Amino acid sequence: MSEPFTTTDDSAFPDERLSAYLDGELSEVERAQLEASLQSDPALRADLDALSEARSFFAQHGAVAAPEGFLEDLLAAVEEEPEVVQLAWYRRPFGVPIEGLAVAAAALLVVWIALPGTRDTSEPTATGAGAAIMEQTRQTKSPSSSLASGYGTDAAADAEDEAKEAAEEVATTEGTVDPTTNAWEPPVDADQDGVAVAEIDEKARGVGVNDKLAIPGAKGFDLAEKKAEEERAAAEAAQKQAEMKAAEEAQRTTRTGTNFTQVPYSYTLYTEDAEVLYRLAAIAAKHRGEVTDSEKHELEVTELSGNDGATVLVQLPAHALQAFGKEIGALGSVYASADNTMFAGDPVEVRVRVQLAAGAPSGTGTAPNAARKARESLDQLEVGEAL
Amino acid sequence: MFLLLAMVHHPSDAELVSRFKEGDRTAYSEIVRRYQDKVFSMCLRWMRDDQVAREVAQDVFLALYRSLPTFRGDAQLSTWIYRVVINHCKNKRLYRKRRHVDFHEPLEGKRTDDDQPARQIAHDGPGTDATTQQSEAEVLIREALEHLDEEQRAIIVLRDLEDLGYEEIADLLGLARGTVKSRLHRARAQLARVLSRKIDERDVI
Repeated sequence: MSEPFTTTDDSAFPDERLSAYLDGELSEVERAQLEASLQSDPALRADLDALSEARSFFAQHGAVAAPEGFLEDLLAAVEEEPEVVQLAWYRRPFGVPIEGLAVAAAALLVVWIALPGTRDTSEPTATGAGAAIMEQTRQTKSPSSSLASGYGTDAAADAEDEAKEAAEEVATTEGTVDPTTNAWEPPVDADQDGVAVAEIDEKARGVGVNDKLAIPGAKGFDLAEKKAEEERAAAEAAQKQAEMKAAEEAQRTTRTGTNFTQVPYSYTLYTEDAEVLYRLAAIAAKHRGEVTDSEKHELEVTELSGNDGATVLVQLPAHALQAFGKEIGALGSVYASADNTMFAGDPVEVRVRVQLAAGAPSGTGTAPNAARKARESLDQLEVGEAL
Repeated sequence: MFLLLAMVHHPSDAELVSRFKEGDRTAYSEIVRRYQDKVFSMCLRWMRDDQVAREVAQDVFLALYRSLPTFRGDAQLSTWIYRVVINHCKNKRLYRKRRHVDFHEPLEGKRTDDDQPARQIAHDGPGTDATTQQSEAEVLIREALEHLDEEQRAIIVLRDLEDLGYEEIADLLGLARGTVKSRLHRARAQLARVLSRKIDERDVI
C-alpha cells in the first residue's frame, strides 16, 4: 500500500476537495482546477483512489438489515400504544377552516369588548397565569359569549371560583405590571415586600436574567426605565393574546363529547441543580419524548453554571403532557406559563426555560402552584360534561 | 403492464401516509418495511451497539406511529424520519452517558477535538450480538467507526448510506455546508487509513 495508508498523521489526505469531488459537490471551477492538479500530482491521485475505495467500501458494507423479528416486535409494541386519535377535525370543525373560526371568534370578542356594559372594566388586571384564568372565567361568565355558555355548570362555577382565587394570588400587588403576554415568558410574581420579580427572557430582551431578579429594596435598579417601556409593549401584546386565547376558547367549546384537557405548554423552572437539563432529558425520554435546544435541531446539553439559563424544547406525546408537568415540578420551582396553546396536535411541543437560582425567586413556591392547581381544575373539565 | 403492476405494489410514501390516516394499518407496516433497514443502519452506526440500535429504531417507528396522523407532508417522509433518528440517537447517547453506560466519547465534545479519535474502553467486539455472525467486512467497519466521533459517523452515514447531499445533511444536523464538507472528508480520510491498515493486516477482500 502507498504511504498515506499506513500513517496516522492527520496531514494525510490534506486536500478537502477530494471527498467533495467524489460526491459531485464541487463547483465547475473547483472541479476543473482539481482535475488539472490530479493530472500532474500522482500523490493526490493516490489519495483520491484511497478515499474512493473507503467510500465504496462503506457504502457497500455499511448498511445493515434490521434484526430478525424487528417488525413483529414493533407491531406488538404499537398494539400497546394508546389509540391514535385522528386530529384532522381540528383543522376543519363544521367544515370551516380553523383559521376562519378563530378570526370570527376574535371578531366577536372585539365586539363584546367594545360594547359598553358588557364587560366589567373595573376588574383588576391579572398577571401571569392568572391573566389566562381570568380571561377564561370572564368568558365563562359572559352571557354574550354564546360559544362559552357551556361552562354554566356547578363544576365550572367551582373551577371558576378556584381560578379567581388563584388569580388573585398571582395578581401581584399594586403597581406591578405583567410582561407575560409573550408566549415564552414566565409570569410575574411579587415578593412579600411588593418588589416585582420578573424573569425576562434573556434572548428576547438582550438583558441578563439575573439583572432582573429583584432584591428587596432594590426598586431603583438601572433597568427600570427600560422595563417600563417593555411593560407597555407587553400590555399591548397582552390584549392581542387575550383575543387569541378567546378565539381558542371559543373553538374549544364548540367541541362536544370529547374529554379534552388543556395544559400549559410553557414552563419556567428555577432550580439549584446544575444537572437539571439531564434530568429534564431523562423525564422526556421516559415519556418517549425528544429534547432539543431552542433552535429545534440540536441539543447542546451542558451542566448549568453561574448565571446560565437555558431554554429547551421538549416534544412529547400529547397524552404525556400532564405527567410531564407534574414530574418537572420535582426538579425545582416551576412556573406554568399562561401560554395555553390548544390543538397543537400530537406530539406537542413544550418549552421549558431553566434558570439556575440560589433559591427560587420569592413567591414561586406558592402562588404559581396554587394557580396551576386552579388551572388544572379548569383544564380537566370535560367539555362534554359541561355541555 | 409490468410498469402498472410495479406502481400498484410500490405506492409512494405520501400514498402510504394517506392510507394510514384513513385507518389502513397495513400502510404503517409497509412504511416500516420500507425504512427499517435504513433506520436500523443509521442507529447502529451511530450507537455502535446492536441492542441499543434496536431500541432506538423501535422508538423512532413508535414516534412515527404517533405522529403520522398529523403528518402534513410538508417535508418528505424520509427527511422527517432521518430527523427523528438523529434526535433519538442524540437523546439516547445523552441518556446513556448520564447513566455511565457509554464512555466511548464525549457527548457534546467541542469542535476543537474534531480530529481526536473517540476515547475507547475495551472494545465490545463482534460478540455484542452473539446471534449475529458478523462478516469480516462488518468487523472492519465497526473497528473503523471506533475512530470517528459521533458527528463524523452521522455525516458519513447520511452521505454514503442514505445518499443525501451536503445541503440536506447540513440542514438535518444544523451545520454549515462547509462544515459538513470538511468533516466528511476527515471522516473518510480516517476511514481510509484504518481500513487500509486493517485490510493490509488481514489481507481480506
